[in-house]
Amino acid sequence: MNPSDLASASPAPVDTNASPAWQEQFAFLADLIPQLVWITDPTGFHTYFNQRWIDYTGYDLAASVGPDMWNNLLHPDDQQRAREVWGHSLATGDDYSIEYRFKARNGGYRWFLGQALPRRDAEGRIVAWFGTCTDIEEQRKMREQLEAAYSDLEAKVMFRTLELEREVHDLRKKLADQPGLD
Amino acid sequence: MLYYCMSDLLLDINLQQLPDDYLAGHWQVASRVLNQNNPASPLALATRLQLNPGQLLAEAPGLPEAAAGTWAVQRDELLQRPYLRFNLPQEQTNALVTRLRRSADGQHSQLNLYFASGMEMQLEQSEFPRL
Repeated sequence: MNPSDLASASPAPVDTNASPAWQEQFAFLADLIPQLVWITDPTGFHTYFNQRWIDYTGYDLAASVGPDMWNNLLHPDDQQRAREVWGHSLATGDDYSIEYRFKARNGGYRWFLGQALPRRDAEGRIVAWFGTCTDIEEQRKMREQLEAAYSDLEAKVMFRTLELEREVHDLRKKLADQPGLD
Repeated sequence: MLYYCMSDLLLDINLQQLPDDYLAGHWQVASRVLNQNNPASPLALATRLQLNPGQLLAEAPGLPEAAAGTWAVQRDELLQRPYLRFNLPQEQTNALVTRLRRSADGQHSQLNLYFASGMEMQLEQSEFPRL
């Protein structure tokens, strides 16, 4: 996406205190960065998605109401864990961080790092959660390849060690079987 | 060429639960790194390995006939994966199974072996349906 196309790409977040110009700049910046960006109210209801979110997931704010979006978006193996982690952050105000798989519009899953921080008012009450989802599919693949390579290497070393032990054992047996040698 | 197009569709098989019959069949040698292995040995020269029940045939171009011997699947509790015992008149060696990948329909397989000499070999198998 060309940055020049972004000015009116996604709706600006609703913030009655912010000027229209500021809201437009926020939306421009949020659409420019490579992450999916979202904002929720203190109870976890979404109030803003950037254009990348909408383009990747196919869900805009209107479609995000209710449980369907998360049930459809999240990989079935990640849904329970995601609910628990997000629920913990909402209940405690702790920073949110999780790796999970999101389904794209085309039906394929990719790994994302979801992170969010609460924004608080002067009294320390949470007024909103600001979150991003960073595509880590390639890093996950690299990590899995590295883990597989390490596991292979470990197995090879063990295999060669056992082979060497067998050879030493056979050699000792041959020497022991030779008459005149102790 | 069709096989290579499909290689992305091959799935890793858990080597701790690998059925022995997944290793049998007629394998093409796709690639090989000799390392310390004798380059003139039958397995170093082979372009095709037939792992039939109880019988091993190592075929190499330029040789009048395939080297014939036996093979067997071995397991050691210290290793988390099986290894193969190859017995040929000119060569007796073991090879660790480092990876086995198969298509969902079992028609295509890719087998990686690591020999005691350090030789690494990738074998491929395709069973196209007969028309």
